[in-house]
Amino acid sequence: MTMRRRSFLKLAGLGLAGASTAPVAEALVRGTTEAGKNASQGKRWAMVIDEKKCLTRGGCDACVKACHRAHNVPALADPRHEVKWVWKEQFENVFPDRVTPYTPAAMKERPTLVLCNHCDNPPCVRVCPTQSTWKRADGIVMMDMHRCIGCRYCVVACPYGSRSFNFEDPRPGIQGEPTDYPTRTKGVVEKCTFCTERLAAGQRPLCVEACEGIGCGALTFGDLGDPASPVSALLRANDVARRKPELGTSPHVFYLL
Amino acid sequence: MLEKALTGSRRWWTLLAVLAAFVAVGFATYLRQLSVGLGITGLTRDVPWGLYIAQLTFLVGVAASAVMVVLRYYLHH
Repeated sequence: MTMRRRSFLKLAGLGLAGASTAPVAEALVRGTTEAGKNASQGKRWAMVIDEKKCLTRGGCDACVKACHRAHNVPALADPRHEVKWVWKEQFENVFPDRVTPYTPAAMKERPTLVLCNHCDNPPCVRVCPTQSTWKRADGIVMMDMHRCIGCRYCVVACPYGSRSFNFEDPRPGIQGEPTDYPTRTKGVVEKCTFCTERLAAGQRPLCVEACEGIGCGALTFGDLGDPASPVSALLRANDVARRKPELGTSPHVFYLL
Repeated sequence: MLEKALTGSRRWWTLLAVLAAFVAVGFATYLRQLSVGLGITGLTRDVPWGLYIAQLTFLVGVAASAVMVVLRYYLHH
């Protein structure tokens, strides 16, 4: 067989390109089938935070640590550029309408857990110019950091301050060895995703498991579409609060105060 | 039209050099922002837009109106 130099190079190049895409295609296929097999099916995911139980462990931050470690959330020196997925905030800032001039300081300053509320009517989704954040059919407000152009519209729109912008390179701030979760770059927005990667594997969010792991159990996660789920039972039996309900965003993180 | 801009007195060239220096500083600052991140603009978690964006939109308006002012001179020349 005679072959000219040019056509040989062409063929070789094509072969190389094909060989390099094979593992990518394989990983893609593996990812989808594995996720489909054991994935938790939910109509509407929601979380209930039992404040009284949470307060029995004063300075506990097991959930925060577990989440930030697993999701490669950096610990940055400058608090103005912090990236946070789940964290504690003073009660008077979380529920400003539930504080009166007669509320004792200890009550006002009690640490309250906050995270993305996964609203039914999320303002962040409405303003995003590139649709890099969207509401999934199961209610989770999801984020694609690849599509994000870093305009920070959503940061301004979110009434709960749940979104963080990477003002600097987050990778040097990651504590310890990075986990399998994709790291981010500077210039994109990120937030809590209710651990979609764990739901896809049939597990519950990490904060919930971490809270149970230390024997507290202040966090409950489940499907509101299922009347038998623990969150549905809690919402039926208790007087629950949501953050800033007057804005009409319909948050799906509920608080037992 | 450009050849007129490239001929002139010493004062003209000095003016051009000063303006070019401004452009150089601006470009260097932009490169620095590109490599370090938006953190150096003074924007924070609590003020994600602030003066940075206000100045940007303001100067875009100024530039557009300057073009409109200059344009008439060429049209009616």
